[in-house]
Amino acid sequence: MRRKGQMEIMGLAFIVVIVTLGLLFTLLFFLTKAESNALPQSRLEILSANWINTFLGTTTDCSQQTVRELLIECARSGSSSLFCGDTDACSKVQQVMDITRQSTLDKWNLQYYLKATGPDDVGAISAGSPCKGKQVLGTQAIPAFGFDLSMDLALCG
Amino acid sequence: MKGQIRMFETIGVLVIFFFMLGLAASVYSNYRASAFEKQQRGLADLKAGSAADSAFYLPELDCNFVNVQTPNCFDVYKLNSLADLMKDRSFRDSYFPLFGPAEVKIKQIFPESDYNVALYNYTTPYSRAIVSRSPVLLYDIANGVRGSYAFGLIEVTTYAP
Repeated sequence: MRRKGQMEIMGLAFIVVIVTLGLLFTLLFFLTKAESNALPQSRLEILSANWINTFLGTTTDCSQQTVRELLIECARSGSSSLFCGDTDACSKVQQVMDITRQSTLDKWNLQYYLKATGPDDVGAISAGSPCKGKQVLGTQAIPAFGFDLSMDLALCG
Repeated sequence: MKGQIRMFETIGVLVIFFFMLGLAASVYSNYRASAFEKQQRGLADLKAGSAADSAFYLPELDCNFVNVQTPNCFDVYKLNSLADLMKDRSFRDSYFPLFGPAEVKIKQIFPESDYNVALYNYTTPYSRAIVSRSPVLLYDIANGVRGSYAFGLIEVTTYAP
């Protein structure tokens, strides 16, 4: 009887030791986990807003028009009119978007979705792919009579 | 014999007890060290963010035309002048309270160009370099009838000790 009791106590003690060790190692693992290097949300918001503002304000070699002005022209005449010598306003905006995003957003390994919103030809101007999870969305409306135009940049967080 | 077994049992229990105590102490000291390091990193990140914001919105470089200010924009002429002034050590040191140990660089992305200005450079030995970047318009009044805005990039590297 006594022996049986002793064996049971030993068994219990063994289980307690195993459980305690397991808890301690789990704690150790979580406390020493490497921190994420992702940008904080506030920084992403500033980056998104600044990127769109800078992009829209950039002067192009198309009659010294800014990207904002080219987007308005794209909404007015679409991709049918050769506004910029041998190319149209919409293609020019896409071209400038590709150059600037490759040197910035792509280089920084950010996941993003850049899209112009407006009539059909404007809506085709985009880069990246829609965010699947959390995102930080920056948007800037472009004042244009008769059109609802905007430029959106979603940074996937 | 019985006494010996009991003694071995007691020693065994004590060994396991002190081993667990040692392990718990080790976990706790790791936790304290990790928490302190995390706090230091948080402070360094805050300082870096503050320095970056100061650089991104420097009033000395703003694009101002007939009292109308273009947001998120640097005037290239003001930028070049400030960069020249920064070559003087005492002038550069007057910006230390604003930027701290850091490096501020501005370059042009579009239209593609070699334009690259090292505005501020105060390097010290560091354990961590925190880089903050932001697109910025670079306004050149002499280019075109109404001036032109290039797509630029400002990069602020803050050094944490």
